[in-house]
Amino acid sequence: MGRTTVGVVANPASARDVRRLVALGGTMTTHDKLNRLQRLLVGLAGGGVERVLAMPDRSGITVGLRRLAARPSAASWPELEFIEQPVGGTAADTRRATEAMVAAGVGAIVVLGGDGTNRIVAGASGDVPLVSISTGTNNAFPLPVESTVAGLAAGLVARDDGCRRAGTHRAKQLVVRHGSRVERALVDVAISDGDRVGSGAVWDGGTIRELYLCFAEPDAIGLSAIGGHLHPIGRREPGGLAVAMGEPVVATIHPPIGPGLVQPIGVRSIDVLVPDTPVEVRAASGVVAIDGERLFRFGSDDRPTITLRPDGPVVVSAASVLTHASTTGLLATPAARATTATAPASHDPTDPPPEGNHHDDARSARSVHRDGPHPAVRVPDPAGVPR
Amino acid sequence: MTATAAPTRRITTAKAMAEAIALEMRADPDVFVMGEDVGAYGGIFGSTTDLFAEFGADRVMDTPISETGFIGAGIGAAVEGMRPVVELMFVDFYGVCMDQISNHMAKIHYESGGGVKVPMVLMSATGAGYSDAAQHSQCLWGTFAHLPGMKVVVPSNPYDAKGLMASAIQDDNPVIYLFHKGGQGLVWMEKNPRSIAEVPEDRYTVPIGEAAVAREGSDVSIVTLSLSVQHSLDVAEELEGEGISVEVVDLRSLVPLDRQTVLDSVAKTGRLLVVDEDYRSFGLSGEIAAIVAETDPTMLSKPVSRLAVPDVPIPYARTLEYGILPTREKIAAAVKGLMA
Amino acid sequence: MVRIRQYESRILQEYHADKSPAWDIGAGLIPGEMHLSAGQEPAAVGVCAHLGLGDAITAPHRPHHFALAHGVDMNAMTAEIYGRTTGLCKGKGGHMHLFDPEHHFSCSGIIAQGYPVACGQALAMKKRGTDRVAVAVAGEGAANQGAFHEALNLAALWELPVIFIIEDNDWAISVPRADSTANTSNADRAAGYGMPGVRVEDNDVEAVFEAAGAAVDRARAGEGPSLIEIHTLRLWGHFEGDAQAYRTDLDTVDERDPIPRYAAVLVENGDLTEAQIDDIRATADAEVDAAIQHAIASPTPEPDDALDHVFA
Repeated sequence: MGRTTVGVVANPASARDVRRLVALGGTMTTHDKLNRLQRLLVGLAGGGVERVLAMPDRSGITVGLRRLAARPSAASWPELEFIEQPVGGTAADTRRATEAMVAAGVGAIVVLGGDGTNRIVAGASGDVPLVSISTGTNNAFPLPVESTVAGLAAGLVARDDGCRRAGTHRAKQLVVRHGSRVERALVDVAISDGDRVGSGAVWDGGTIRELYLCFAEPDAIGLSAIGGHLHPIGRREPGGLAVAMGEPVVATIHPPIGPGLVQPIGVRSIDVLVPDTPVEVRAASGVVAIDGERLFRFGSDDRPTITLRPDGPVVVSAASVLTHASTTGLLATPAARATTATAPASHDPTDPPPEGNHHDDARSARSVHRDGPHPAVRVPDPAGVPR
Repeated sequence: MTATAAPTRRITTAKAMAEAIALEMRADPDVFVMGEDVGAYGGIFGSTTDLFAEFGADRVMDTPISETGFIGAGIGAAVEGMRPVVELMFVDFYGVCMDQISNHMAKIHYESGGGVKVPMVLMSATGAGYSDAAQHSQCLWGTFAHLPGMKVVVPSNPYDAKGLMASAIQDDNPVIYLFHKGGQGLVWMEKNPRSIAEVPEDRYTVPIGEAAVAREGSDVSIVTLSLSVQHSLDVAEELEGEGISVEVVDLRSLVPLDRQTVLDSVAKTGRLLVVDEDYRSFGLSGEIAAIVAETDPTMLSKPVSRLAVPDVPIPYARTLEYGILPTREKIAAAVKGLMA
Repeated sequence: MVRIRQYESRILQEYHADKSPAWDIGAGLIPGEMHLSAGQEPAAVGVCAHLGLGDAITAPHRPHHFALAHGVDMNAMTAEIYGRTTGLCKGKGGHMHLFDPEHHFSCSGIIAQGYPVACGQALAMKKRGTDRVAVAVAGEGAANQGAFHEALNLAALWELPVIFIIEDNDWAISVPRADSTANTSNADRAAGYGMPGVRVEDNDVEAVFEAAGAAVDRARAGEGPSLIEIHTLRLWGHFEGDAQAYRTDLDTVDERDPIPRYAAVLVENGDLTEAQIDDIRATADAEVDAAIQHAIASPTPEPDDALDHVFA
């Protein structure tokens, strides 16, 4: 493909569900999401991205971003294009948009959402690296990253220069099979009592019978904290964890299974999940919740199986990308990429004209600093930069 | 009027209002007060003096500056059977809450076919005379009286202020209670001595819908209300010395309007002067004249005379303001005009 | 939901049946404007399932679904819509002004103005030490009214047992929310007033049920107000006779109809059979038919009756 393009999926519905009523879920306002998107776009421009392909919505993100992009302060942003697709206000929008981004050959996809949003994107992202910015209720999957930095990292990965190899890895995933249905989880699969799917969100730890985890971090929020409090397993370690709740209780823990929600959980057993080995759910019936959202129910004659697999989505570690970029000189040569990204490109008219502008598209006039190093700010050989 | 032999003492109109509210609150736990600065301040014009100290913040509720919100909340509480007394600080602020007043408070009983009652008092300060200018000086009682569904009471003295407030609170209908700032007896405003008067300590009511003959006379009927009653009584006393016998009819409420007392007075004197601090056209003064004309215009020996604000906003400068208000001098001149 | 839908469908049919001339909105046995709620049943049903007789609802100009779901008598409501003396309001209110004191149900045809009234009802409930709640319903267009914001502030400030329901049906008559609203999320606005706000996507009755249950529980427990925005569907026009030429989403309306969608889920899950759903529909039809017969058989008010009920 030609211009460096990054996809952006911003879920307008994240941090809006019933967990604001049944737990102390906070509100990530549309304004907050737009603010993060603005920072992201500045970072993407700084990272050398020329075009952004974004998911459309009808809940304020698209309209807000278009307004912001028309302001003078956005002149240095990458070209912003919204995918033409129907908007239904459901997870199908996210899936369709991700598919379109992959088909368009984007170099990375930035996801603004929580665990649920990332799960939908990961189901369609294939080999395209994901950069996740937390704007959800439970954010166990996304690694903490500031949005401007996420943009820089996404841009660097999209342009590659070794950043993909150095700064991305494949996450684990749990594949759930139920008849012809196949779902994947990035963090957890929970088997709970009851027969209603309802609003989707899981908040009552007392109803959970079994829990399957890709990783179990003790400082996580959400159901994966249950595993984290019992037997930590890192994201990059090969195995997973299976936890069974109920009698006979061998241990009781008090993990934060939701924001402001600490509940006693009686644990019956824990097992390590071995990669590529299917496990059948033990409960005779119940509801399957994936990454904190109840998705479907099952009966005794059609128990789901769960398999831990190492072939989850490709995820970006912004810290690793930027470390690589810094140590290999990508951040210094060509120079001054990021320094002009927050304002319309301008320079002292007495300066010599910029060099190295190989782009012939209409936006090249404001891409000069990104594409051509300014002689006046050329820095010494990277090897000479003190570390 | 419920006669009472209870002890009396001289108090201001403002104090009389507050006392009536206190007595109703003691008698009925469903009565409560809300509005801007009705709590510790006691109402900008003294209408809730001392209530906060006695009843506390639960029953004397300071509200945000959200007239639509708290008047609507008053309606909702009334619909549920409570008896809120809600203060709209200046009647001029009606513009930001008129939907709740007119479309909800006044219409719910009718719209519901009588199924839902709205026993609520909306009290508000009216009137000019102290250079508060166009947005803080209007009377507007004619506007509320024009719109169906709310009673409109307009006391002119401390005794009526207390008795009418008690009636308003006990009434099962929404009642607009309009008091004149200049008649409250406030220490920080020029006042007529009639704003302080003997008032019984006990609980009593003055019925809504009965005008009072504030002074009997035989030559001219002044039909008026609110602070203009005080002015008219002053003029009547003054003109008595000139041999003119003036009868002063204090309407006390516009809705319901006591037509009979007006007609009886005009039938006796044959001369009618309507004094109204509200705007002249399409309002109270025209209504009073129409009642006489519809009933028997031959009872008039002279054409009806009207003294009202001449259809201009209330101006600021004192010379301008008093140029358009119904002052004692203008009332006296109008009476003399009828006698000429 | 089926009961409401069958009701609205029949009113639609009866409304147009005798309009002569057809363009005359005031003609026919059901005169005047008519705002039907088809497509918005999940909002009413999911919320009202948690309410009892003593709980209050203030509904807007499109009130039938909430009235029926809250238990307002169908016969009396229908007679009111037909302007009969046996109506809820003896023919004085009409379809936009339904009042049922027994169920603490009221309407306002003025956008968002039921919100402050609900606050007052909740204030009374709280003052009296009850665990009753008030529910205020309005559309997404109403959330730009000052009354909406004043009410949210009052409710949060006084920790009133109110549940604010925003029915987001995408269209404020003909204007989509993005063209009228700087911040299109009312969950955000709730957060601005310090109360929890949630959005239920996809017109999902089970999700509405859960969210409303949590909000009602909070209110009853003295935890204060909540706001629930429900993304719902205006299946038909703003009012009957609205040609909807402005509407860009008409091609997707049928597939988003919540009733066949939820029926399919229930059948797939084995909760109901097609035959049972047909029975529910037939039962509803019979009830609706009886209500309409009752209305038509009821007397019309005398002209002089217009003078009654100004005052109690």
